[in-house]
Amino acid sequence: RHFVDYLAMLRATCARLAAHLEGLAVFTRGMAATSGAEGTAETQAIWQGRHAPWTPTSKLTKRKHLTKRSQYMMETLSRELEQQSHAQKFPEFRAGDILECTVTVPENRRRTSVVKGLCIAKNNAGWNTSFTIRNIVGNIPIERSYPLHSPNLVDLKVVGSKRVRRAKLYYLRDLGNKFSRV
Amino acid sequence: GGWTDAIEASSAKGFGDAMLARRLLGNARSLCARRWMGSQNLDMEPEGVVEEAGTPAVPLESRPWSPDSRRCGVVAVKCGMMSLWDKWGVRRPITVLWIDECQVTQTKTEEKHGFNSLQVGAGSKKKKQVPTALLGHYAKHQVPIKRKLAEFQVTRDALLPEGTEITAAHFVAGQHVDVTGITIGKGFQGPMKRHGFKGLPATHGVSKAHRSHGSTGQCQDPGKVFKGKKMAGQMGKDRRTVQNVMVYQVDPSRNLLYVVGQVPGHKGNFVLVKDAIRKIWEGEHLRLNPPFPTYIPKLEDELSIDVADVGPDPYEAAIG
Repeated sequence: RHFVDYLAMLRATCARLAAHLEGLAVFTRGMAATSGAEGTAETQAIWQGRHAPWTPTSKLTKRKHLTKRSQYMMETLSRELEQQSHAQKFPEFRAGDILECTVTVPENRRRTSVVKGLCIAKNNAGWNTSFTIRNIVGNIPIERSYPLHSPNLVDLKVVGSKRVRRAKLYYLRDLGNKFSRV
Repeated sequence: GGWTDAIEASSAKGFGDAMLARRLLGNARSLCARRWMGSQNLDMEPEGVVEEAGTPAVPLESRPWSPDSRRCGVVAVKCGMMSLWDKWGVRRPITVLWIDECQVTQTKTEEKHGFNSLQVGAGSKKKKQVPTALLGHYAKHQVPIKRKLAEFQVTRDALLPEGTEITAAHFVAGQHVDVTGITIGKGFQGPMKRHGFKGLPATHGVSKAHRSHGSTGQCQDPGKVFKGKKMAGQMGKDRRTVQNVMVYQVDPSRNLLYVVGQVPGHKGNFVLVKDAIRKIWEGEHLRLNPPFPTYIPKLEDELSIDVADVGPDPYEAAIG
């Protein structure tokens, strides 16, 4: 009797496994059917074995609401742009780090200049990530914000850091110049 | 009695099953079902598409533009907004529109309907979610079940056969489009938000009327409030068109359109995209030459992402 139960359990597991594999096959069928829309291996890693977000609805077995699928689409496009961006080689940084940014200024015939300052804010938003640098230039506090993936931001180096206990250092605006000078 | 059989007969005929159709026709017993069948022109020809009397077959072929041509539009899904930098470093706000298998579901011609238009459908639905009448419509025109249908009036030379798929390659990067959608609903709103009224002062004796519309008209003459007087009421959730939206980028392999600026409606909602009529009056279609009547795919075509030509360096022009 125990042997029979064991056989039944094995059979059930095999059936579940077969169903799971069939389900996977359906998904891969959906992906292979998209013509020329597969992207690189890096891009495919974004959706990790699920269907690509632009797969036509008729080729999906399980369909989520279009609002959710739009979210999936925008996230995938944003992450794909991030992967291909030149900003991938920039180091990780956070508020409190002292940064040296090489920027090109389009209004000044695209001359490159180096901007140094304390990072007082970093807004993590994927493709739209931005940060703010603060420094004292000629006794005047100057704050500059840059999108991280902007083509005008050529290079970014972390040259130091300050111990801070905040994610955003806006309190420095109320303190004297000596606390923001780097 | 027998309505569903009559519809199934039409569906069977549409899918080429003449024997089944003939058997089901016999079951339709009610007078109105028989009268409807009589109007359906269900000839029992085993193969070929039955053409209604007086409707010429519409061929699928490329044609040149003419100055007053109007071609079909597309039903797309508004996915969301992002920003892209163009080659000069100018940042542009972009709305991503996704075309989910947009196909022509019905061709309407002058001979039969009195005007030329194309009904297109996008998306997909399961059979159980669709009313039987719509199922019959899709079966009759031999197209898969669609989620959203829309109709675009076109000129005679822009007609397409039923079943033609209209993809993102229908548009050319750099052209302008009119995008129509249902705006975001704001509910019942007061006149200050709804019509931009200034309201009343916050102080100086105003009693409980700071956000009201104030006077609604004159005195004994005319002695009434004019129709259409701007007042509080439902704001949003109505159909609006944004004109002259530039198509910045076209991704034909993914069926994505990247347009500059805002588009009415929520993310996940359907919008209608067609060539900008004001730009057609300016002759943009003759200059940019989008595929007419639509993009007809060829096997050897390798479609890459098309980015708009944004003109000369704006910074160079500013410096002089």
